Amino acid sequence: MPSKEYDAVVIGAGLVGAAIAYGLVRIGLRVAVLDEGDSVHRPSHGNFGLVWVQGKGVGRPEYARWTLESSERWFDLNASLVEDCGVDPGYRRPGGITPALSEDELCALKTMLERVRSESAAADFEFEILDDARIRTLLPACGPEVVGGAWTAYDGHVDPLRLLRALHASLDLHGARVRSQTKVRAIVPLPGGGFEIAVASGPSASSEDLAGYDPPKGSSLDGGETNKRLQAQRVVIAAGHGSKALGSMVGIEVPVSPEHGQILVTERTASILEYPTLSVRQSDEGSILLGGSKEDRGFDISAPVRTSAEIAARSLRIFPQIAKLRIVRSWGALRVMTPDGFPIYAASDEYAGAFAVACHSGVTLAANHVWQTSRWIERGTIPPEMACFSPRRFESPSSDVSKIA
Amino acid sequence: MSEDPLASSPVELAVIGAGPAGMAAAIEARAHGIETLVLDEQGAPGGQVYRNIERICAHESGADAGPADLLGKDYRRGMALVDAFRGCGARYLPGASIWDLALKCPFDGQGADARGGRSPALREDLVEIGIVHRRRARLLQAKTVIVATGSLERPVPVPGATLPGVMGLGAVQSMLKASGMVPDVPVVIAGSGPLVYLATKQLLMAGVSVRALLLTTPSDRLRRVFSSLPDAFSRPKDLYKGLRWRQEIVRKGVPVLRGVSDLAIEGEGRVEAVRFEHRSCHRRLPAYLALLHEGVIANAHLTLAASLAHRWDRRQHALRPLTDDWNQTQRDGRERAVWVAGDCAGIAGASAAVHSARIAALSAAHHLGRIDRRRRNALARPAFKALAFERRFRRFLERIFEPADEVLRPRDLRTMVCRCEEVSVADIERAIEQGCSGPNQLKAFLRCGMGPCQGRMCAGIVSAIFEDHARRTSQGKDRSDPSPPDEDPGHFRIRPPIRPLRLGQLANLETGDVERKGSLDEPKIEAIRGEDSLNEDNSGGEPR
Repeated sequence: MPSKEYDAVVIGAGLVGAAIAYGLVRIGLRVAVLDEGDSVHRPSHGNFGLVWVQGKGVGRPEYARWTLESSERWFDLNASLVEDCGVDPGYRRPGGITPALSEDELCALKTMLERVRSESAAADFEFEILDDARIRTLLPACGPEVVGGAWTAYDGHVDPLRLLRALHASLDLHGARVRSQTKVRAIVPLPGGGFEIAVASGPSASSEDLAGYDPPKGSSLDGGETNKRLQAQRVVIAAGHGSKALGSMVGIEVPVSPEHGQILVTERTASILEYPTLSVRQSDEGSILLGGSKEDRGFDISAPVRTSAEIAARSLRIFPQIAKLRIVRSWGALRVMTPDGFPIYAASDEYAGAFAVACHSGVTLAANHVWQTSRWIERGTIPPEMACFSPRRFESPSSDVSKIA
Repeated sequence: MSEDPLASSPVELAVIGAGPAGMAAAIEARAHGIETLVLDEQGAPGGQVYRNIERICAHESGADAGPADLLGKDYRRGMALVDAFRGCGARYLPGASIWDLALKCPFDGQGADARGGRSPALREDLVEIGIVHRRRARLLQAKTVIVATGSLERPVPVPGATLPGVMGLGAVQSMLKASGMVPDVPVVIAGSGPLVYLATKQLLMAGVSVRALLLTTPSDRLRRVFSSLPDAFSRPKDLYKGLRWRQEIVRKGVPVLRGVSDLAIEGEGRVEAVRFEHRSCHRRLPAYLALLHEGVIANAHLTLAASLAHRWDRRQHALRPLTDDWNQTQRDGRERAVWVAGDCAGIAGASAAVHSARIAALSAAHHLGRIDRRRRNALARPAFKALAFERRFRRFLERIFEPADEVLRPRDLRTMVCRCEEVSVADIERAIEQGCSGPNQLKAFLRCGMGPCQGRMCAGIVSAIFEDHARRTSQGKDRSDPSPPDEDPGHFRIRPPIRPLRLGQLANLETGDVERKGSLDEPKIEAIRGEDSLNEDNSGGEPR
């Protein structure tokens, strides 16, 4: 096998790409990580910061197990990052609570969690249905509308920006420099194995065109840009919304689309929420984050005030006492959504050594990406039990016919 | 629903700010019969320049030298403008804090904002303004908006600038106008620019003990006077006025040190001394209060929040909205129904603000179909002429008071850039070294600009550091064009709310497009007279 400059090039330095790259450098591979410019969409910068298991994988027990596994290994990941670079993502796992605002909601929660337990055949899947007294013991901030809720043991939270920072710093220390302002123009499979990746770097090398944006005025496309080629034995596409276009260069379909989510963050306050919920949590620095919106808004990353108002109103029904807190910021970000919401782990059939990973749970699944996904990439294959996450699941019979035709 | 004048169909023109530019814009718009609503944070018209002018001038007839005398003839001159504004027939809502400005595009789906601008088929913008008035949050819609939010004091990034006891000189001058309050301890004033002389003179007249005036204008700047003589003498009276202010300061026995550099504030827990370099000597001056001022920059927070295009102004060393000659802004290469007027379009001073506001209002009137192109051009001609004249003197001021390089681009690595998250120059340099590609990524790397002030204090310096880097990198590459045009070096994405807003207020946001609760009383719109108290959320005020 001819030796290449890199054992692996990871395209995308968000939470998914950085976690996989971190796993790869820990097992001794020579890795380059490519990242784009300042103005691209960065779901990793807009993350809510939950490591969340509760309710995930209904109807897809493999996903429930996969998520649970990652939660179990998150302590290792946190410790490993702190040891490597000293930046602490601050993982805490008190368990997560979903408050219910009606008896119907409470019933639905119970049914859902029982289904997850029976489907994943994990008799020890730990959850508790909370009545209105019990939930107030755990979360005294609950308002009068809350009738109960559900608690699972596996949920926790983390500072997503510190996680990203820790991954980048650790990559740096392991000798894998993240190349910023670098846009991949082409991935060319080489005869005899491996890939050549043509990149353009410079302030204007961003993927704005991807979303149908006009490039911002003043950043002419030829301004300050340099072109370069890298060679690698393996290539990992973890470029979020950019993965669709990149995947097609190595014969992997990555059918992802943006789902708009919005987050509000308040000023810091005394600790009042000991447990995270799916839409409200208190950070270790005391700010309260509110989120949970899901909208199709194309590649618009604004934070429309009507959505913010709905988020605030809904959160106040659960925790009325936070009404007096000042909002410090709001932002929108684009989840990387697959058609069924489950992640994509794909290896190219045509070109050995090309992989694509796409998911909306870059924080929750980070531990798996570090400890497991990197191993698959090192070995060159995805294990058979993960076959259900192949994008082949989206192929309909009719499209097969059209391919043949 | 129809009784509420704020929520009635979109207002034709909303003017944000009731300083010289806002007032002049409203007066001009009313002259063309445009339905105009003026929103302002303060409780009375005047802006920063003529802050509290009605109350102060009402006491003028008294025997004592009142604050009006102290503030001078130029200040009193603002009264004519305020009177014209009060009589122009615009609706006026004081005490309204503006926390969002968004272009809302009617063809972009039901109620969807389009900051990202993804619908190319728009024919008409609608602008949405988020306000808090009397503690209640609501959205107003306008067909056209003139933003006249004035200027901010340029943050002065010197070591120790975050200590209690360091204030903006402009903020202290505002306090003097608003409440007649002045510091009762000896102060050291340091900085550059015309306001340094004016405010120092005013503080001396008000009885403040000024221990020293440290002028940080680099000596090479003053040599530029000779190359700018024609511009300087475009307004000989103003030139003379500046020299006289300085004489008065010297006559009062205040030591005036020129060519001061390497300013640093020292103290344990609060200001104890000001350290600096003067004529190659290190000096240290004990002080209780240090008042700093390095000029003002355009207050572009609202236009940034609306994702309008901005440029880095290399003469003013600040970001300002990109406009055409008529002060109309744009986004994605298309003109938008938002105009800027006065200092928020680029610093030009109070008299220029009036002319630029008139130009903006005439353009908006044309946009609304009130006047045809020829009439617009004819009416605007005197304003353009006056503006060109004003700009000559401004050019002179910009040249000789261009802030020192160390102010624009702090040399001392310990200097705190983001106060909220305690990010120093060294931290930012390291992040850039590690490949941080711009201000927005810097947020993720260092939380820089993510504190309660939302980047208000550090945005300019952060952009300047990246601008500096970009320039040095491009120089290294030996580009054919030695002086690239003004570009945007990258700036923080600004997201609402840009002024304080509580969760409870947002949860009860009145959008005007859903059933509103009838039990709450509607905000009172003043016909034109009367006053409104500031709501509690904006009493903090913005230093200039």
